[in-house]
Parts: sequence; structure tokens; C-alpha cells
Amino acid sequence: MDAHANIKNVGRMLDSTHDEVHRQRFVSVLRKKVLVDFAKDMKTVYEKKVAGRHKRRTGKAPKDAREIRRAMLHEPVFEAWSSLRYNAQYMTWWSVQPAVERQLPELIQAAKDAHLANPAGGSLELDNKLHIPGYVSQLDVHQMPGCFQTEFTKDDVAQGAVYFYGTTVFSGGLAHRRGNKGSVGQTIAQYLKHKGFKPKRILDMGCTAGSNTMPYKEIFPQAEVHGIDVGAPCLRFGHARAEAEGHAIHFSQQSAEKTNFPDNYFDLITSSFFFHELSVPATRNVLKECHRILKPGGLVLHMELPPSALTDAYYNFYLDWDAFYNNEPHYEAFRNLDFPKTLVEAGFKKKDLEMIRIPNYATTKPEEFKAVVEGRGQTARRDHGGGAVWFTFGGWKR
Amino acid sequence: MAKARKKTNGTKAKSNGGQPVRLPIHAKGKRAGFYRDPANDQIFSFIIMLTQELSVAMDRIETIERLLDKNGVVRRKDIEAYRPGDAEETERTARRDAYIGRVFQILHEEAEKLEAGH
Ligand SMILES: C[S@@+](CC[C@H](N)C(=O)[O-])C[C@H]1O[C@@H](n2cnc3c(N)ncnc32)[C@H](O)[C@@H]1O
Repeated sequence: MDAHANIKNVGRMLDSTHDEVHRQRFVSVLRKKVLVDFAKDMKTVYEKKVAGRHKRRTGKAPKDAREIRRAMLHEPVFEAWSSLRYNAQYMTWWSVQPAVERQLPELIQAAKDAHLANPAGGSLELDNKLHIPGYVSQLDVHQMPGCFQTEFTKDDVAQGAVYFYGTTVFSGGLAHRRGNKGSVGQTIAQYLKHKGFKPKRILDMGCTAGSNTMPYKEIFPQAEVHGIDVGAPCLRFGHARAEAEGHAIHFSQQSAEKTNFPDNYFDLITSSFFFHELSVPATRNVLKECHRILKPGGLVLHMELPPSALTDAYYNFYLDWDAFYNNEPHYEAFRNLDFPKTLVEAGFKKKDLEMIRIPNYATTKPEEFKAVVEGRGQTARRDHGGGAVWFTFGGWKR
Repeated sequence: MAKARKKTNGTKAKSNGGQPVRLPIHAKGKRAGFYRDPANDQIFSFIIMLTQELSVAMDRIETIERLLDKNGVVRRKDIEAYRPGDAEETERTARRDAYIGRVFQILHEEAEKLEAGH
């Protein structure tokens, strides 16, 4: 399994106590209750009570997410649901922090060992002069104390570890995601492979700890795979894990708004859960940068939550919750963008754009997956948050 | 590759002299509130944290019971080392699921009544 017997895998080291393990399990189940069961209750209250009340008062049903939000704001079900969701978010990180704190020296040592031995042949290039953009440094995104970039000691990997192990707790209760790190990368890579697209050079932007970067190397072993992020602790962790698992991936600390890659360099540029954290001007910069470093004939395909134009008002209200309460202030503005227009402004031609809903590979029957790949009908799945289907957008450079 | 690989591990932070690192507990940014009175938000947090601790205590009791069934005695270190297998984990998860459902039953009540047409 591990490529190098002498180095420990930072991704399999967390040694939680008995009670810490059960604290983590509780949070996973709580998240599932909130996102599945109680979310259904909240929707029922909206449909069977709040929408009708609004209509009686104003003559019309709420027209968009903002109106629904205003109508729901002081409904007991919204207050309680939000409180649960908000606390569950904090509890996710808290459930892994004590073990990460205790084990930090060992984790750092393992990352250093991986870096020195570098058994898989990837690389790690850090730039401690890099300016951390305000949309990352000013708020702790996702309520994760310390965010992606804070370093608490020399050669720190703590935030990489908190993110990596925390996200396991985060989605541990959701059937689609359980035990399957990297499901977005796996889904997009499988989709492209089924299509017969064989990228030789791949870039994953905002790769954090590389969970969704690794599947590209697994599925396209011949390809040169790069991951960039602004957070050093995440990159160290991701590189160490990839080396321990035998995947040569080149991690570097740079901003996706302005990279050091030459023009026309990549066959495929991708990302996952990345754009909604950027300010809108940064989103435009990143898309332009994608166009610059993409080879002619290459493809940009980013995974994100779908734009609000493609989902209904209630779902928009539900998804935009994060913009208000999860330290993701740009989320709503991002989803409200005109995606085709934004891509065209970045240099892509209208006829070359792609917007594809791809069902999650690991939990989809091969026939259904193939049908989507072959364009024989769209997938009927709509649960983007829970990961039954992934929305992707981008385009070809011709 | 864009650049030759450098064996640097560039770091912004200095070594903290071997002191254990304490990670921050609170996130930068405004704490969200959902109730008109912020005291209610606090109380909600207390309750949910307590709900978690009780769940952890139930898991510990279950571990002890299972060890007793198996060995007739329990030792601290066996409790610490105990990790449920998959089947047992499924049972424990069902128990936690039902437990959370009971604690927050009222959340479900309104929807249930509306569904029933009340
Ligand atoms: C939610 S995370 C992405 C998760 C990751 N793709 C995964 O699937 O595990 C967003 C990441 O984008 C990074 N980021 C934010 N702005 C960036 C920028 N301008 N350039 C590169 N990375 C950036 C953050 O540091 C963070 O690690």
C-alpha cells in the first residue's frame, strides 16, 4: 500500500482517544440528521406554511432566495436548524483538533521525512513571501479556526491535518461520501477517461490537502499532475500524503490568480469547492489565468455548486445559507454570476463552454454513468450538496 | 515542470521552542446568531455540546458492557484501545441517529403536523 515503508503516512496517523473517536462519530451523525432529516422538515414547513403565508400577505409566492430567507428568518424551525448546522460546523473541527495538537510533532516529522525521501518523485515548492489574498486571510473560511494558511510552528502541517481529518468527520455520515476521499476528482477523471480524453498535464487549483488531486494521478498515471494552493500547511500535508501513497504530484504554493506556469501549459485545469471562496474579481482573474495557461485543445472543468440560475428558489435559499453563516461571504455572489458570460469574458468562446452534471462515480451504476458520459440524457439527480451529483463548468480552448 | 524542484520547506512561523501548539478554538469573523436574543444562541450551543457529551458517555458505557460480556472484567486500557468493528459501528450509528432524533424531536413535530394536514 504505502510506497515507502520508512515514511509514515500523515493521512493515516491520527490517533484519537476512545472518547474523541466517539465525539467525531456523533458529529458525523449530527451532520447527516441536519442535512437530510431536519432539512426535509424545514422544507415542509416552508412549503406547507411559510410560502402560503407570504402569498396571502403579498399576493405572490416568494420569488427568490432572498425573499424566502426573509420569510424564514424567524421561523423556529429555521432558527433551530441553523443553530444545529452552525454548531455542527464548529464541532467538526473541534472533534479532531485535540488529537492533531497532541500529535503535531509526529505529523511534522512524518511530513519532513516524506519530503526528504520523496519516494514517489513528486515535489513541494513553498513561497513564504506569497501574499495571502484577503478573502482567505480575513476570515476563517468554513469556520475552521486558523483557516488554511496559518502556521503555528516551524514546518507546520496542523491546518492541513485539521482540514483533512475534519472533512472525514464532516461527510462521514453521508452515504455518498463515506470513506471516499477524493470523490470529485475521481468523478471528473473517470468522466474524462470514459470520454477518451487523455490529459498529459493536469492542474488542480485550490487543492488544499490534495484529496481531490490524487485521483487524477491514479486514473491518469502517465500524466504530470500539479496542485496549487496558498496554504503552506495544507500543501505540506498533501505532498507528504501523496508521497506515502506513491503518487508523484507537484505541489506549489501560489495564487491561482497569477501563477508561474508558462502560457499554453496544461491539457486539463480543474478545481473542487474552490471558486465560491474567492471574491468575484478574483474569480475573473482565475478564469483568465486558466485560459492563459491552458493549451489549445485543452479543457478547463471546475466543480462547484450550480449557479442560482439553474436551481430553484428554495434550493438557492438553502445553499446560500453558507454565505451568511459559514464565513463564505462570496458564495452567493458567485452563484449569482452569469456563468457563460463570465467564461466568455475570460477568453473562452461561447460554443466551447461546458456545463455538465456528473453523477458521483463511486456510487453510480456503470450504465447510468455511461449514459451521462455519452450524452444520452442528463442525470436526474439534483442533490449537489450531498454529493449525489457534481456540477462542473468550464470550456475548451480552441 | 515549471521550475526545478527545490528541497525547501519554506515556513513563515518560527519554531516555538518545543512548546506544545495550542490550536485556536474560535474562527476569525463574526459569530453567527439566529435568535433575537443572543443568549438563546449560547444556550443552544450549551445544549448541543451536552448532547454530544452524553452520546460519548453512552458510547463509553457500551464499550464497557461489551468488554464485560466478552471478558467478564474491564480494564481502563482495554476501554481506551477498543474500536468498534463495522457491524457494531452500524448499530451505534443507528442508536446515535435515534437519540438525536429524540433530543430534537420538536424540530420534527411541526413538519409532521403540517404533513398530516393540521
Ligand atoms: C474549500 S478549499 C478546496 C478543497 C479542495 N479542493 C478539496 O477538494 O479538498 C479552498 C482552497 O482554496 C485555497 N485558495 C483560496 N484562494 C486561493 C488562490 N487565490 N489561489 C490558490 N488557492 C487558493 C484555499 O487555501 C483552500 O485550500
